[in-house]
Amino acid sequence: MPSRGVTIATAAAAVIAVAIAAGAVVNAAGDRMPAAAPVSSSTPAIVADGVRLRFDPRPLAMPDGATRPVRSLLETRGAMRFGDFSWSEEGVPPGPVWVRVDLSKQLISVFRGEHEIGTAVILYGTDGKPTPTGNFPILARAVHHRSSLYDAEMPYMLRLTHDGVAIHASAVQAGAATHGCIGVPEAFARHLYGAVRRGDPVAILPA
Amino acid sequence: MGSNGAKGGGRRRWTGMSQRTRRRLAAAGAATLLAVPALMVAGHGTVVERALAAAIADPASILSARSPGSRGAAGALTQTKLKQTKPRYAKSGVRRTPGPRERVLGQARTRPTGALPLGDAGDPVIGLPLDIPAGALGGIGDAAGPIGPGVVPFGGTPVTGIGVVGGGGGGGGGGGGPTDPVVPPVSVVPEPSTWLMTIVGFFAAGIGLRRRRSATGRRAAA
Repeated sequence: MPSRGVTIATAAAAVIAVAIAAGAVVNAAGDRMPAAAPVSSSTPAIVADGVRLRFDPRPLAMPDGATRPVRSLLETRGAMRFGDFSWSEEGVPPGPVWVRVDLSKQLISVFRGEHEIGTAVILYGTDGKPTPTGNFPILARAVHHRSSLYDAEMPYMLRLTHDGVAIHASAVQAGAATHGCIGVPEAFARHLYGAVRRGDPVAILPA
Repeated sequence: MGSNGAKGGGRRRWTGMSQRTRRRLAAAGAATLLAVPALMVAGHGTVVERALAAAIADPASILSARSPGSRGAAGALTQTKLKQTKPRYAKSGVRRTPGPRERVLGQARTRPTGALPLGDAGDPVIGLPLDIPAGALGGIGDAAGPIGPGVVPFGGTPVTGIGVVGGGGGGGGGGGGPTDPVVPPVSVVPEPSTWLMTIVGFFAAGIGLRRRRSATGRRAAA
């Protein structure tokens, strides 16, 4: 009888050991899943880590009808409100910086390479003084800028056109608008100013 | 794991079974146990992610989800600069001449065009500096002369309609695709092996308890 009990205990231990080993194998496979999934490419994996959503390169529409590939977007908790922004460069490799402004969604997105590093809710021009759409390289940058046209402070200004349209810090509130500039929250403007250089492209999609 | 573990009436049934049947049952139980994590992984890999992929069809939909919505006709014409400029005018004693009915910014000054201060713009006549990925977003200005070495595929994956001209200075291409940053995704759902360990642990505890109980019962009987 005791020998039988020992046999059963041994068998149970063996089963448990096998189960643990299988679990380890399965776990390792699970860890490899996100990397292995793109190979199949029929069902691309989307990985969310709380900061950004990563996926296979997907085309993002640009104003001229072309697209640019994007591999990750920042994760926001639901819809952003006026004055909200998000910025995270963590783990994003160096690459060319480009900015995409979507007037219809009232959003700006800053990309480095194929990864989004910043996003914010924007203000844009009124119907009478609309924000121009299209592609613009950044012509000039200035931390302290005072609009001589409107006698107003425009910190962290990134000029886009030769007639003065720029991206700059402003009080981003619901119901507000600009005279053609793109207004972003000041803290976001500081990040943006630090991220871009003269000549970096800014794409503005129409409202 | 069979002979000892049984409920009151079950014991007779268990002991009544042949050794072979018991073994078969044990094997079936183990197989079920082992199949659980495999099923979970399968579900994790396909069902969940497929649902997620369907929900997030393209990047634009993610952007739409975070957007505060489009600006309606209503709230677009609020004055923003007047509050700042009003006290300044009051202090200086300058009378504001009634300008055009501008409801967004304060009084616009009339000044000759072309005399705008350009900050650190340098010479605007030059246009694009050399390190601009010209045409990266489609034709900016005159895209007649591509500056870079040629069309560089972005990230190693062909995407329609993108002609990215590699910027001068080597920064543009980024070496044929940026390496994915290694950030292990932390899932809310416990790993399959965690589940497995939990289940196995419960089984082990149960077996241990049953064995001890039956052993003491035998000793008492003897």
